[in-house]
Order: sequence, then C-alpha cells, then structure tokens
Amino acid sequence: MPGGIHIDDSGGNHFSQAKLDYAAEDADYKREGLRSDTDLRLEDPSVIESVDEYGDSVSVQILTVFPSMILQQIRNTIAVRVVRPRGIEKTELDWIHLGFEDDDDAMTERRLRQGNLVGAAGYISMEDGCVGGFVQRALRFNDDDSGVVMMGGYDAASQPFRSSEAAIRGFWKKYRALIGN
Amino acid sequence: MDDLAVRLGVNELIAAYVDCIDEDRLEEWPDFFVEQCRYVITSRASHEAGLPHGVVYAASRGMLVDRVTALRRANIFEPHRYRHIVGPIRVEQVDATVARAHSNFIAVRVMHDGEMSLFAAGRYLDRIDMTSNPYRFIERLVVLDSQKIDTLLVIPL
Repeated sequence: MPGGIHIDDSGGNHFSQAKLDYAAEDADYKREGLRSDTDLRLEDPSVIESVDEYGDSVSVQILTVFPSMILQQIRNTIAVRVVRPRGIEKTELDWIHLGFEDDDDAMTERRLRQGNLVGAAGYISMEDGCVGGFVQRALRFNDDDSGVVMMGGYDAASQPFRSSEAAIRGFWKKYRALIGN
Repeated sequence: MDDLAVRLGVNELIAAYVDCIDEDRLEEWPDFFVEQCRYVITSRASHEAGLPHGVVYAASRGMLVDRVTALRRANIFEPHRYRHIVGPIRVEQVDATVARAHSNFIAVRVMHDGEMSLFAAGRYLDRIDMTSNPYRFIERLVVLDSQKIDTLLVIPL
C-alpha cells in the first residue's frame, strides 16, 4: 500500500497518508471468500464499503497541526479531532464527525457505517484509547521517566512508509524549540 | 393485545438482554434483534440535535455479529465486565405488532483487577417486535448522558 509520512521542518505538523484501490480491495475480499482457510470474515461488509470521494485514491490521511488538532480522512469518514490534556494523568480526544449538505443518502449512510471504524468504539481506533495509558504506565518504571522513541529512525523527517515514530519525535522537536530547550 | 402481557414481554426482553451482556454470553447478543435491525450508541447532545452519528452504528444483525467477532478475536484491551442496572421500564404499545419502550440505565465497569467505575449512564429507546416469542428489538438506541467515554467502548451496552 503506497503511502508515507510528510513532516514539516519544525516537526510539529505532519500528515500521514496511504492510497488504496477500493475496487481491487473488494475483488481481493471476494476472492478470499471462495477459499475456506480463513474463518475471520465480516458478516456485513458494508462497514468498509467505500468510494474514492476525491478521485485521488487516498484512503487514509491524518493531518496534524501542532499541538492538538487533527484532520482525519479514513475512507469516507471525515472528522476533526482535538486533543485536550486534562493534567498529567488524563487527556481527552474529542471527535467531531462531519457529513456534508450535498451528500446523497448513500454517502451519508456510508459515512455513518464507516464511523464504526473510528472513535471510542472504533474497530481501528479503540485501542488508541488504551495505548497512551499503557505507555505512560510503562514509562514510570524507566530511569527519569524517560522512554525510547526509535521506531523508524532517529530524526523527524518525512518517510515513504508509515510504521514510524518520526511524527512523535517531530512533536518533541517542536516542543523543545518552543520551551527553549 | 393485553397490556399486561406486553409489559411482561418487554420486561423479560430487556432483563434477558442485560443478563446476556453482563454474564459474558455475547454470542447470544445478536439474537435479541430482528434481522434488519438498528443498534446505535449515541450521546444525548447528538440525539437532541437530531444528528444521526453513533459511536456504534449497526444497521443489520450481521453488523452485531461482527462486533462480537471483533471483540473476541481481534481487539486488544484490558479484560473487564459490565454490571448494568436498568430502572423501571416505560412501555407504550404502538400497534398490534410493535411496542415502544424506554428505560434508564447505568453500567458499572469492573476491571480485571477489581477496580470499578461508573462507565455509562443513559437511556434505552426501544422499538420492539411483538410477533416473535420472546420479543426482539427492531431498534435499540442507547443514548448516553455524557459524550465522554473512558478509554474505549468494546463490550456493547
């Protein structure tokens, strides 16, 4: 799946992007259905039925503006997310899901069903709610409450793949610049 | 249809539903719904504004089955259970085959280490098919009083 992370020079702003051919994905899924060696299938695949809304084959784009705003496109779900720290031990993530006045009923329904992928109960997002807490709890046992953020390299530069902590290193790069460290 | 029989049937449906979830018999959860059902978890703010979005939005029994499969086989989370308490159920009979009901509920979340929290509070807004025995849900809207969900929502409410 082609994609990557694009990070600005400050490190604080980035977008992560992937492209997908929905028709090919659909064909693959149907082909898998003819084999019986996998028992993990959706009873109702309408939850991921998607259209190339902008004609650019982009299936995922997560765009972050330092420090706390995210603009999300995941298939046909469009949302604004706001990260709201409530202290050292607690953060809220606010999801504002968007539909558009010129959406037809099919597109509205598509956005609502694909909404199952994201949010607090999201098939792909729900663990995001846990992982910050897991990392925070683990850090407490390290020296000086420190952690290692080395997945995908050492710097905060753009990369042609998405399995990377470059954007996290970018956040801290911007943060350190702002606090004069 | 006899009003008392309707009330008993609705009560039994709702009591059996929360038992199924709280006793971790989730594979039975989709059976509480008709095939072309709706199950939506939303917030009071969204619902009162007439906005259709749901944190869970199921529009078929198949989508309910998929929710259970995902939580049993795919999603990763710290083990926990719910304890639902459902208040008195208000029933209106809509016609000969459909009843409408609403009730208040709270759900306590009990973590694997025994830590408890008040995880959810809200109302169930139900349309119920009375042509089957036991009754089944045509539509269940779970309207949460708060928009804040702690950590994740993986077990249905």
